[in-house]
Amino acid sequence: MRIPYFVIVQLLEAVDECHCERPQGAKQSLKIASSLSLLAMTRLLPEAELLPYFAPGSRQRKSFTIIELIMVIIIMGIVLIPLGIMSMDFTREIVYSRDSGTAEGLVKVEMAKVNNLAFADLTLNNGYDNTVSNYEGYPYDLRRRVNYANSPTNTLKRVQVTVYPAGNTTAPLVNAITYVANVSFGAGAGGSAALGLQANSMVVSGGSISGNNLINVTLANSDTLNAITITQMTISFTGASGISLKKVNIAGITVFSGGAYSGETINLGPTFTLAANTSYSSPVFLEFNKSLASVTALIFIMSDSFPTVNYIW
Amino acid sequence: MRNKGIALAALIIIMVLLAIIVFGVTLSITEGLRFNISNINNEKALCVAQAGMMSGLVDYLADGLISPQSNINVNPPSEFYYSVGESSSFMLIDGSNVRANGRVVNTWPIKNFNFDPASSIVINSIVVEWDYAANLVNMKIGNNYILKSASLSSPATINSANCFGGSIPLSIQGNTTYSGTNVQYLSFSANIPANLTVSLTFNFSDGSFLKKLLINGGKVTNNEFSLRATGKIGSGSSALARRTLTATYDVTTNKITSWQESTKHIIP
Repeated sequence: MRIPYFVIVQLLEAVDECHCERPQGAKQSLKIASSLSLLAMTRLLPEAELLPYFAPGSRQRKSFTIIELIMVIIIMGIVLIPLGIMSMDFTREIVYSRDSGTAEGLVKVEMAKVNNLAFADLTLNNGYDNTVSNYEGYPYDLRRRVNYANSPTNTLKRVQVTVYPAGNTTAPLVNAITYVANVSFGAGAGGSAALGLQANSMVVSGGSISGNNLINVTLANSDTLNAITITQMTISFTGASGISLKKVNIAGITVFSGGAYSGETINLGPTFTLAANTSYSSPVFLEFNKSLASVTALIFIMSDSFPTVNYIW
Repeated sequence: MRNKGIALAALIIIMVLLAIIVFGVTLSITEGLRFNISNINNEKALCVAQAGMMSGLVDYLADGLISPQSNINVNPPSEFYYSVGESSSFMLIDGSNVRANGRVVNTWPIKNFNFDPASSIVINSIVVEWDYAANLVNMKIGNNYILKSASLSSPATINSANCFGGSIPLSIQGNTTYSGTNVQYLSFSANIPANLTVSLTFNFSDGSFLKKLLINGGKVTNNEFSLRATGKIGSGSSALARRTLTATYDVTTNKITSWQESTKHIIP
């Protein structure tokens, strides 16, 4: 039978401590008792390694006292018990951390799959509820549930993905919810050339009111390739009571005559065509039957049916 | 003789070392767990943000209008989403039929597609940028002059100080469309080249803005709007995680043309 060396050392240390603190007679008695005890121990425990302790020159001993030993045991006890409890908690946390991390990854995988499914896919049907064991080869089960989120329209589906430890559906690790709709991803509609309209090539400038007339309105066609044609005009104006438009003259040609009240659209006859890239030095002339105060809107309507912007004087 | 004990000192040293190790290990495990939980919350918030985005799109597809959605709880008690919510999210500018010819850029309808007519969006300023040597002379929105007989070089900022007739701030009511050839137009001082590029940036009273490429290198652009949705994990005012998605939706093709994450959250 072996006994730890330090135990014997501590016993001797205890005896030695007693020597220092007791009267001489008592010390002698104790010394004898301890010697006897030691003798008994060496007989009882012949394998105890005592020799190094009594080796020559070993009187300068540095060793633990019994008090220190007891303190160590108490303190270690105080420290180790909570540490043990904590280590168990930590172990659980480490396991949970590993599980939750993996579960999060699996949810991402499943959501990516869900987002790539057609809205009408069977696995996205209303009421779908399926659990896959050992999802993607991992020791976790994954459950997908689908329900309409906007009944009765039923154009939006609620998808719930839950990950559990394998075989344990009572403790979900992750539960994520999203919606899917019947929309798709793709390129936009932009990119074609902006369409040119006749009205956009029409440049109107100048013009002023003089008595019964609007004079010196200059027209130009900025389109370098194509002619544009004015077919109608819509005009709104203010002036003396009963005022009406009497005549329209463009580049020396009378294109309208008769009577038109404010807000009316008149048809030009003949229509007036502006050649490509041409400015007309003979301006537009509008004659009214009474004194003109203002033209609140003049819109030229082109042969492609699109109007110009409003012009005012 | 006096023996010198070293066990207590050694014990204290060992305990200090042990404490450091235990503290380090504790911190590592705790932070690792917190990191994982944070990741899970972030992933859930992203899923919820997608829910808000899809909900907004479905709302638009139903009637061409969108209602702001706040505090929608998809998984009680703590998973919410918020979608749209800013002025810029309600403004639709159709660049798919824009015309550019002569000196005029027109035929770009605009719409405030907020379902609620009382929910106006207010434009505080407009920045117009173009890429050829000309000045901006006129601009109309909603058939009203915003700029008239002016001469602004690019980039031109039109605001309350230089607009025509106090037209800015400009309010556009919910569920309102301004369409027509010249209801919105820009006119310049010189003829437009074939490869014109024009962009408009609308700055709204709530601090949001919308930049629209109206015509790009002489080509029409999309008829699209942007949508934003924020997912929040947490309850009440506290949030454990927020993720926000923005997307653009092309009305002409009925397709989502961009889908990205944003750090600009909707926080009511």
